[in-house]
Amino acid sequence: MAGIRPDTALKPPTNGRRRKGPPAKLLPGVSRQQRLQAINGATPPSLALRGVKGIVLFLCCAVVIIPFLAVISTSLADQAQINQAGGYVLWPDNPSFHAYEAIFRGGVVTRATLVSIGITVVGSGLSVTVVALLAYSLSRPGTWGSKPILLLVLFTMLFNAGMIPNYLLIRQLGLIDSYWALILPTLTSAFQIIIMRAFFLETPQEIIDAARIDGASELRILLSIVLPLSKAVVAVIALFNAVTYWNAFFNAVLYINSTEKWPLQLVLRTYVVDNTAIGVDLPGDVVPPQQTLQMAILVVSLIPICLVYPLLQKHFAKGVVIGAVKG
Amino acid sequence: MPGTGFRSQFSRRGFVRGAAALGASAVGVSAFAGCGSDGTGESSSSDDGGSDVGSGVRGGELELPTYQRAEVVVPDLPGSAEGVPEGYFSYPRPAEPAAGGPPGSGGVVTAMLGAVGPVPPNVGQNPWWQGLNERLGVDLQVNMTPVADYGARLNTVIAGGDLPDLVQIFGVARLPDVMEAEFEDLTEYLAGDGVLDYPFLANLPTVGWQATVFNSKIYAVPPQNTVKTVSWLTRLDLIDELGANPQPGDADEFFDFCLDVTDAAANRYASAAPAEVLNRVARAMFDAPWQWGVDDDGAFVHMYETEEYRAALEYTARLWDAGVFHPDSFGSVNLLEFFKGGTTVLHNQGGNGYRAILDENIPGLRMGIFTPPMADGGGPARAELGTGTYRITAIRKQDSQERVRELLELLNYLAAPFGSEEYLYLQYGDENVHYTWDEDLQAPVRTEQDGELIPVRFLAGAPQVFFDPGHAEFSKAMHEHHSEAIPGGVQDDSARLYSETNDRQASSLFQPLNGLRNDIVQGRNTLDDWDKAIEDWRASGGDQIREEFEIAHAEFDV
Repeated sequence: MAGIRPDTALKPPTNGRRRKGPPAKLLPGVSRQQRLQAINGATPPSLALRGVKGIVLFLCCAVVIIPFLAVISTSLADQAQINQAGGYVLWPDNPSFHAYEAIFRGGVVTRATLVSIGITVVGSGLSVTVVALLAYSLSRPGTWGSKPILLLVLFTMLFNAGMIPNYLLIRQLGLIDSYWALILPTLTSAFQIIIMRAFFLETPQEIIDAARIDGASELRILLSIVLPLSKAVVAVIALFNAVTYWNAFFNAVLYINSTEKWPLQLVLRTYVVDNTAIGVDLPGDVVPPQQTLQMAILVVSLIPICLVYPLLQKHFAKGVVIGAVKG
Repeated sequence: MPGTGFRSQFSRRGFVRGAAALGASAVGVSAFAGCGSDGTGESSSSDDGGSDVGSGVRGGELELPTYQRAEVVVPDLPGSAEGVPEGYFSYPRPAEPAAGGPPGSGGVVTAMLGAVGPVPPNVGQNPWWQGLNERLGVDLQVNMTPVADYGARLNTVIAGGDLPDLVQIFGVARLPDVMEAEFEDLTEYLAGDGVLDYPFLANLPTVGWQATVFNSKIYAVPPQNTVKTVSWLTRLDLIDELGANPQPGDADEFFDFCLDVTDAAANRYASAAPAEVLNRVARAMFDAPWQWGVDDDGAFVHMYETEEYRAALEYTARLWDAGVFHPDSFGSVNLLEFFKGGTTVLHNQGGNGYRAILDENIPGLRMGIFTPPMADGGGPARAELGTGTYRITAIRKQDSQERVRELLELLNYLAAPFGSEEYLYLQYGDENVHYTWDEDLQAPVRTEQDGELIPVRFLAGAPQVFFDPGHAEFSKAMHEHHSEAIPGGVQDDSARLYSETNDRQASSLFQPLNGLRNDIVQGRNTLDDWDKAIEDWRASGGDQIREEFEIAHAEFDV
């Protein structure tokens, strides 16, 4: 957005209603509401309208929060209450951590959680590194073979090798039953490379030229100049990858033989079985796990992403601002 | 969960399709394939027609494994070779070992199966698994996959040539070809009296073996399920409280029953599974076939095509209209929790799954068993029956016959019958670790440690039994229910046959019908739409499947 002139940037925001008349004076004794009105140029909504807005927002929040509450409450409730309620409870009468004790017994869930965290951390780190390196080299003019490589990358968005060819590839690479089989197949994605390359292209050429005059190598330019200017997009790509690695289970189904290398999502899948998938004609000694256990492991699998998200969201917000003003 | 029953039935057919014999139950087990040893082969239609038949596909040439009951303990309630489970009121104590010793001689045996429910800790942290390996005399490495993803896993493993020694089979296309290409032909080991070398495999009811036959050869061992796949449980406590008739005698009485137990204000409904009620109650009441049925002339008809099913569909739509189904029925609901909480009064549960409900000892809950009546009041309707197996287990092609025998010995050990010390270990584990002994019940009671047990019963296991410590009355009722239902039951006559079109197109052909069926039940479409959809279905592949089944049937049933 290099074309924005300073005077246009000083104009009041055009979203919302435009204020009419001369600028309001900020007088002492004027209520906050009126000052806000003066700054925003909007008339305050009537009490009724604010009430309606409040109710709508409350309902929106409720729609998001109640399922979470139900999951957490059900995981803490006792079986009698769940039987009474027919599946889910909104508030446990006799909260207990029995279900959590049960799922952590035997160490399968603990181990799977560690595996998942490891895969997510290592995988996201490697993914961001690889994507950044490729995106940067493709974004700089004059990179040898950048056009064909870019086309090659784009080409992978159209076609997918399919399950069995992928399996055969992983097998020939000797990665069956290896943690690398959970990371390498999803290391890069054309989509992420395109996004990052587009972001890098926006970096002003002047800064890079200045760095080069100071004697910086390409790697130095990427690490010291371009990446610090691109924190927002790095955060976005990192979060994309973290969520993908955290939620992935299907590669583990195909490539992992021993249950001790299972990620948490695959363990979760054995708990939260879809009754329609297994059918009603199971022999009697096979019973789907109880609702409390299903919900408990769901909570366990939600926590890490819930912890990471607020930390990265800061960069998201910053990214939006950067995009709006500086481009 | 609309369509549950159908999908599961289809997928079941998916893995036994091509199997050469699910004897038409109406004429007794084994119309053709059991012409073997134990006197069940009456070859009902062996003298008519069929001169030129491709050899190698005729089931009549195969002797199924001889059934010989392993005399370990005397049952309190007798079983049958047709698949009525035995019933027991207590577990023998001390339980005596019945197997001769470890079946294996060292080395590694690999296996893969689809796991239902939480997976146990790996062998290193799992004393039960270590104990099992000691008993088996091998290092048993079991690769478990969540059951919903097992088909994908198995297909890739077959493509990659990475099959383990013992493989649970389901979700594979062109199964007869796959069996021939990848797995050991077990006929010479198990056919006829050959199976007597493996006494616990000989102890498996004949009916289950029929699902292991492909191209007239035995390719697998059948893990056990109840032949009467599903039973309808009722909340007798609620029914009595409401003064409803617990055993309606015809279609109108069943309708009244549903109305009597339903009270939307109290959040109580007759059922939350309309598709199941349609396919397993209404269909039976109006006497439509179960999936594919065949008449005496060898003509196949799918239940969807029949007038009887149309009547059942109309009937179920009226039930829906009367509001006897839970309004979320076609969403994703937890049927078991509904039933336990009294939200629904009818619940269909597979196999011995009722046990999980009994074990919870929910205060006030008293269960009954409902037998669908004929619509016109002419006695109990014919129950639909399954194969008596839960998947099948095949052995990958091995280097030597000795190795195959060793693996069969191992499967034999896993099938040790109820009452033996081996069964106690395989099902309950070690005393005071995985179970404690209850003197009053004369039965083992599982502890929380029992999560260590790995589901080897999916590879091979003892015949199903009714054993409900503390609930002997319910065992008796269930046993009686199965004893009455199985002799007159009706099977899917296509289950033993292979149709390539069905293999490729079953889901794309039947899914639109299942969707329409659900819409008709909910009053969004009419029966005219159904007639039209059936026409389409016939034209786009239904008739093709029929033809292929008829040819396969003619080749088998000469």
